Amino acid sequence: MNADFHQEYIEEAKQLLKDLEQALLQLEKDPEDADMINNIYRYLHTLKGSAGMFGFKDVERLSHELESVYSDVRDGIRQQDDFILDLTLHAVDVLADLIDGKDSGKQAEKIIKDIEKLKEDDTAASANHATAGGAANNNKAYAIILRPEKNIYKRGLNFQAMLDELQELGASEFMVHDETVPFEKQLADKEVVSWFEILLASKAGLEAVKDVFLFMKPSEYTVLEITDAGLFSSEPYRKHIQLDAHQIEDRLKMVEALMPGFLNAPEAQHTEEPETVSTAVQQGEAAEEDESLDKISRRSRKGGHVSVSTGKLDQLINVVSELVIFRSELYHLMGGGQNPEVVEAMEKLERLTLRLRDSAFNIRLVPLNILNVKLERLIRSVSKALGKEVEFITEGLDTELDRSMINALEAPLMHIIRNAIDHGIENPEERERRNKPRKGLLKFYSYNSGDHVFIQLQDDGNGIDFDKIRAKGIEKGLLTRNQAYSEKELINVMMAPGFSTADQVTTVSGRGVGMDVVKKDIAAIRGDIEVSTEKGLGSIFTLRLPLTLTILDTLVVSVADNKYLIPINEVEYCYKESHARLFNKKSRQISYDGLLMPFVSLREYFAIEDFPEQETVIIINKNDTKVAVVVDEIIGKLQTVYKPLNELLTGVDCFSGTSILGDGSMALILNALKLKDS
Amino acid sequence: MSKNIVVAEDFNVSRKIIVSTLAKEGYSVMEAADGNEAVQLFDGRPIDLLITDFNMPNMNGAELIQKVRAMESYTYIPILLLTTEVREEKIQQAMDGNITAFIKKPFETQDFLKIVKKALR
Repeated sequence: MNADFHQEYIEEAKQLLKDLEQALLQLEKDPEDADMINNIYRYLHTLKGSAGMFGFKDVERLSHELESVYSDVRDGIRQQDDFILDLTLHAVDVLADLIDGKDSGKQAEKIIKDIEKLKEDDTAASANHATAGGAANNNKAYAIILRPEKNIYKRGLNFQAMLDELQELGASEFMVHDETVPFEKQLADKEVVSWFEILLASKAGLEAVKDVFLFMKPSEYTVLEITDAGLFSSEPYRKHIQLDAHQIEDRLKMVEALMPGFLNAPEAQHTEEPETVSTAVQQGEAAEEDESLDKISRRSRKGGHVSVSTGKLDQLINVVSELVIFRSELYHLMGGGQNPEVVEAMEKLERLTLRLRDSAFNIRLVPLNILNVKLERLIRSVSKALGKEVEFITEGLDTELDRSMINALEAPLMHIIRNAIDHGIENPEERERRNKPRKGLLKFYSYNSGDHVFIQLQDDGNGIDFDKIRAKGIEKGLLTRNQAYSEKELINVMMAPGFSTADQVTTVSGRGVGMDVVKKDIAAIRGDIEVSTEKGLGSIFTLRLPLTLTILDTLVVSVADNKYLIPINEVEYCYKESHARLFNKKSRQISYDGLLMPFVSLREYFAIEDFPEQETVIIINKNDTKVAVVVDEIIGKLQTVYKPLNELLTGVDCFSGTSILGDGSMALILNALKLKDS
Repeated sequence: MSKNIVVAEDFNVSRKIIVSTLAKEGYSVMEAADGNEAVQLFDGRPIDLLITDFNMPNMNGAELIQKVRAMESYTYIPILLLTTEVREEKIQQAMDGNITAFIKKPFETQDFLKIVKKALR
């Protein structure tokens, strides 16, 4: 098949997925919308057909399954519900990954299984219906207690997979005890500190259920078949957990919900229960309540994890972002509030908003180690191609970043690594001559600090050759011959567009783009890049990235009637100065920190007359490049939500984005460095 | 995608049997005749399971397991240890907390595959 067509298909399929997603969201708003259902069916059908032609097997299968679900929905055989919608939305993400060539076959498989199960459930339900009134189905009920050792993952056991497997056996009720660390975090950290109580209704026999825990030690699990309501107060159960009357009743209710009619008269059992728990009752009801509230959290039947479509997540983030703006608005309305109680309440609201914001953003965070395999592969292939030996060491791969950020980081990181191996690390022979180990060292480490994540890539190669950069810079007309340049300036030149020091264009690092693209990519996610190097010893590239992409602390300033925002982490110093003193000097420079520097007056810049008598000077420091900006006044500090500029305005580079102020009006976010350049 | 399994076993016949049993099931198998050879295979490539003998020349199973667990990419991979009945208890104590399960030699193919399948979940 022609490669062009292939590309065309990918484009088309992506558009289809977008339309499909749109239609699904529409359907969520109006589940009865027959046109939408029809559209969805049609999109899936088209997707399936073309996927087959271009060999996207997984795409074909998955869309086929989904199509059959929606054909049932269309024909009124099946009712569209949230479960189907979530499943389909999730499938859209997986399909997009598959079309992008990502290896998501496993996820596709899982969705297909879910759909198959959905169909099975249907047939089972209708079969039950047919024999209504017949004997209760042959389900059995089990009580399972799991006390995994903390290091269970280190033994190579996947606890989550075991729970998933259990879930496949039938409907279950999952309780977490001693949840001192949130269960999801325990799974993510691969360190299990809680213990678990599970009620399971399944057709499977006792041995089959036990089989799920094949690799667990006998001391780590207990599986008991529930035959009557007395089990929860029986000896084998009490060995693990002593329940009081309420707790037993809770469990009986759960069993009843899992298997209606299975335990005929739960009330009958009540008479004996108070005895077994009398001691606990005597200790007072307060303690009892505490325990059930704090230590045991009931989970849904789906087990420990709830998968949420990214669409829903974005919705949550949007609401939280709006809340942040609204808080500012409220603050603005109160005009600084004189009443101390109101001020206190405001502060509390602020704290809560911040916490809500942080937890909402946390959901989107994923650990960096999803990049690891890619980087390792790259290093292997690049070092092989160049005949170099490289040892790759990583540290802090569990550092978390926003998912979209990790995607955006991939290309720049790969570029830096390519460069480090190509230009930094020497040949093994060369290294031996220099008394270095034959194998070059490439170290990747990342850590959190404040609101930022730092990623460092360090090599023990040759370091940056400044003479070479200078020569190349002069050749390219970026530098002048007779001037002395600091290392910092040379590094900046290295990252300037159109600069590439590779003597020849190699297949590895010379592809017409250079460090300037890396710098641009990093800047696009509001990050910085810093380079330090020592000749003969190696270089360190440090990326500094904001934790989240959308919320920004800013300084609000006014110029005439307009307000502008300056990211607060760029503001180094502010002071007031009379207009006359600033502008009457011929040099048009201010003295700051023992240096003379030119200033940019925003009024002048925007050609507004009537300068105020008192001007405000703001020294902005971004990546150690300083700019003095003169504005009318500082209004205050504002936490705000960053929105990118409309596409029409992307040519205007002295603004990096827009935001909505507390009073609902718009303000532009200044990109001060560009003011200086123009 | 087929799962990648490393089999470390110095006894050629045993190893061949294991490898062919796994290959027939569609797993992609890499084999090593001792711990040293095996550890070379853990070079960053995706590996889903290690099946190793305990007694091997150059580097024994215990050392191999320790080395593999110390590598960030492989800290949590399942590891099956081949043992003979007689020694099991002793080894079990020594390897506690490091391995996923034991496979007693000799084994029935069906049981063996069941354990492998489960370990790969």
